[in-house]
Amino acid sequence: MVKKANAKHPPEESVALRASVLVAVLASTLAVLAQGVGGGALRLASTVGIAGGFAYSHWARYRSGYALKAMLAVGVLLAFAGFLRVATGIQPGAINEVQLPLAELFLWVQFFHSLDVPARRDLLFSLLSSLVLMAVAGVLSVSSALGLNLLVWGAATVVSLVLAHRSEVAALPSLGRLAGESRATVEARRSWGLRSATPALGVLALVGLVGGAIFLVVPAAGAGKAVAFPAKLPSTLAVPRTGGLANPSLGADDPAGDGRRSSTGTGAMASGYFGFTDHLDTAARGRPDNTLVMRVKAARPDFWRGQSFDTWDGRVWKQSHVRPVVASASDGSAIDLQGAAEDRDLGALDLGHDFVQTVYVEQPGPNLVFSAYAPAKVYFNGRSLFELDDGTVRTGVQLPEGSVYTVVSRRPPVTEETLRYSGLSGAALPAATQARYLQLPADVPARVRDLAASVTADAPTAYDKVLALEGWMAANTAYSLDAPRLPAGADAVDQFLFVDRVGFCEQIGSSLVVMLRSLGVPARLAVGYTPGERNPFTGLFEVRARDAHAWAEVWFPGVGWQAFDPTASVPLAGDPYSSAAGAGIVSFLRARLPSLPSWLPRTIGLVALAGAPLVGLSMLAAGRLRRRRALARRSWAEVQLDRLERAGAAHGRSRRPWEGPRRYADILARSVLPDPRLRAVADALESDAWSGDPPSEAARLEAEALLAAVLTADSRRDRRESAVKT
Amino acid sequence: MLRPANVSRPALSLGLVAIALFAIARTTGSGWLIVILTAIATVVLLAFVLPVASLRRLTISVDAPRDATVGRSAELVVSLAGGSSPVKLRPLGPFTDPSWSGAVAPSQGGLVVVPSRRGVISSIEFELSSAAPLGLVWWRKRLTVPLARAFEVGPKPVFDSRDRVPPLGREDDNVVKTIREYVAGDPIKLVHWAATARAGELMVKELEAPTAPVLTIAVDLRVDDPEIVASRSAGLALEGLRAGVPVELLTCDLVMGPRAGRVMSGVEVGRRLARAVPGPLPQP
Repeated sequence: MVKKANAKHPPEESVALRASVLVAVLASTLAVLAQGVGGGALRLASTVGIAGGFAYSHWARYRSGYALKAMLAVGVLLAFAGFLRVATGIQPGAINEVQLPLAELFLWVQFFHSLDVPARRDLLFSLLSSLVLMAVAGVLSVSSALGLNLLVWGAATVVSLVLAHRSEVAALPSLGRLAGESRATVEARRSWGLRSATPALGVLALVGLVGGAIFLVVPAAGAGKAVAFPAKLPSTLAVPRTGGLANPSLGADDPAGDGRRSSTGTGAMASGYFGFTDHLDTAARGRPDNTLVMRVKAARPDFWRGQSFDTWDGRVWKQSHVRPVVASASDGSAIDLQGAAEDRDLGALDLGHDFVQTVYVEQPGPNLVFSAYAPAKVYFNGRSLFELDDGTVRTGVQLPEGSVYTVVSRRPPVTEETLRYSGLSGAALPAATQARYLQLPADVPARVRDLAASVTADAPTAYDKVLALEGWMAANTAYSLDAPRLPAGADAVDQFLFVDRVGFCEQIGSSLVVMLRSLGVPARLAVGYTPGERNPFTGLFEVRARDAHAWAEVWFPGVGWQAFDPTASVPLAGDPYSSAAGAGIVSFLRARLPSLPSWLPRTIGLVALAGAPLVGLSMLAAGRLRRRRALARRSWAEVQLDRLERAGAAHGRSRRPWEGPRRYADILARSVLPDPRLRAVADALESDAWSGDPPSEAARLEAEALLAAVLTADSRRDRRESAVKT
Repeated sequence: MLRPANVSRPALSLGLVAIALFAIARTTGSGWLIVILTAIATVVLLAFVLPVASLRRLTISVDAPRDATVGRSAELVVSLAGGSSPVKLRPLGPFTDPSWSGAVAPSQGGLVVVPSRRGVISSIEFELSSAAPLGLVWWRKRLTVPLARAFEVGPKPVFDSRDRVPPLGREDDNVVKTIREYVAGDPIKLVHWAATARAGELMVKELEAPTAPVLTIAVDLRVDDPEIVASRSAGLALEGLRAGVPVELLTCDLVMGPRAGRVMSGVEVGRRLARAVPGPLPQP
């Protein structure tokens, strides 16, 4: 078997196949390089080197190349040794850190292999290794930019497979040359049939259609057990105050600043959200823009929570109990968190199931660790984190673009039923904590309390109260980013519920929290981001600045804190959630593809309607021209024999390969074309084809005339016979 | 009937890579891996399905020469129609070591075969195999193609040294019919010198016509190994024809039953023996 596997295969002659494989390989290597893999030498080898390697392989395809093979083996061993050297320096458990060295090793192997691909089998191996490279790029990539490489690679791979198959069949003995058929004709037929890549276009279209359909139903990635926990910190610029909150995107409002313009001199960024500071003023207006602030790799959507506020003064939310506790890495880069005291009391962090999220920071922002509630473990390359007693996690350093951290949250499997009957558990908050989350200013308008009481009059449980209040707000208020400004001295909740009835998430969330607190249900206002739009290709949630959000968190005895928001739909942790990989692809593409002008489809239709007959006629004319040219290349005898053969075939008597013109004419004359003049025609054909003394022009014309007369007589006879039958 | 013939190594490799990708995608959450996996699954699916359509469309017709001999090559003219996909084909029997040929329909060409047994072949079974257009999964189909004219395969002639062809009569052995007077033009060797001496004038011998033996071969195939009998009969008949001896074959014909008749050429010998079957022979 080993001998068979190592058997030398015939060199591949098809340049087209070699070129298409090269395109696939280059598309994959470029895709990997685009993920920041490799230095200058590797980049050169993976592009120019591979292209040169393919050219050399074609040139040297007949050489034995034992010396080259030995050198390549040494090269691969050296690359592997380099990989091992790097890999042994990586801490145990940090599998994700092996990814880049492994990708570099793959690229080196691909380069060395490209120097020795003489046969079709080697090219197919190259194609397979390009698939592995593309997969490596897929693991490393978090953006849509990989799509272009993938498209080129996919098209080149399909073309390569089609060409390789045709080359494989062409290597077999072909059907032999027939009598009267020139070698050139046979070769032309073979080359057209077996070398053509035209079917690849059809296959590409089919792959697109069928693949699109499969993509719509295939399960999305990431629901299994995570083994890699990426973490990366491009720079370590410490925040001004240890354990404090910093948010350079707010400019002058940066809680870590001194109230002046930020060091960049640009003031607040368009992506800055006023909730990511030490207070939240509901009178503030202005929403963040569409800037992509982070990507989140997670198996399901959730609120990406940053922090919460517990103290309400009728207009501004503030944080009490801001006493950051240091949490440091115990092993490797994983930092275990204590969690909020009330969660610890419940044992929620032990009972819940792990929910892994990796956050890729795309825009500098606050030093908050965003994650689903409640974070239990963070993989972060900074030395330590700071934990607040409401589950908020802050980093000690700024989080620049390119930062990556992974959070493992622990979520109890909560469903509606769990929440509805949570009060039966009897587990209550400690008095101090309860007082903290039931805090209301003394001057809360009575009509707010009355409204909450009247709306929830028929709601027996805390969960039903939340639903009732959400329902009332959905029916009686409106979400709008153009809410009126809050008048001086006005209570924000009262203004929203009874005067404006228009607001955005801060007003809606605050109203829900205040009304719940007035009913004796502990609640707080959380800020962070909604899940964002899921990119069906990367599988990541793309979170934009405009996704910054505020929502209510409600305490349920025996369950813990649960997020509620009348304006955003996020499934509960225990709700079944299954997503196909291609879910939402239509809206995703529609939002990104340029919209066509309305006149374009109609114009295209008209052009197609008018152009179709023209194209048809052109194709007809081209076909005729091709046939005429083909005829012009044939000898006189071939042309006349073709006429004779067609006449014979029309009567069901084709010429056999072993029958020369004379014998064939004799047979026809005795059977289906009973005309003795055929003999003279056949004599002229044989004389023209094989004798050293071809017939004169006059003799040819005479033979042609005779043949025409025979065929005319034949057709007349046919007509007569059919008339008689009729 | 169509059936999958062979899943190629690249297809198996693709399958293994796809499984690995799925496992990696589920543990790393990489959506791109699902995209790549979908592409692979689509390619493998199409590679599995498309050859079926390709083979279904394909039709084949065959022209065979009338005469052939066991162990000697003969050329079939094969015409493929329907579709434009590369296909492998080979005749299954009764031919020796049929090898694959490649073609793209529509196409016509010669296919050299070596018949492996004697007989009259009225149809040929072909095996067609296609993995078009992606070349990953081979499907095959067997088609029995009727021949417009029977393909008559004669036995491989074997001349056994124990078989003897009767010699043609020689002039020296001929009997003198009478003696007559010399006529101008008579060969000198016919002069009968004794009679000339007695008669006193030139007398010549007039001979009986030379004897003409006929080689009659009874091809009785009702034996354990009829092919050896057929081969020896062919060898003997051809040897007889080569020696100029008239040859008569007694056979049991496939259609006509017991049949006796002279054969004038090797082709006729082949045809008669191709059609011979075990059965009663006619009387010589």
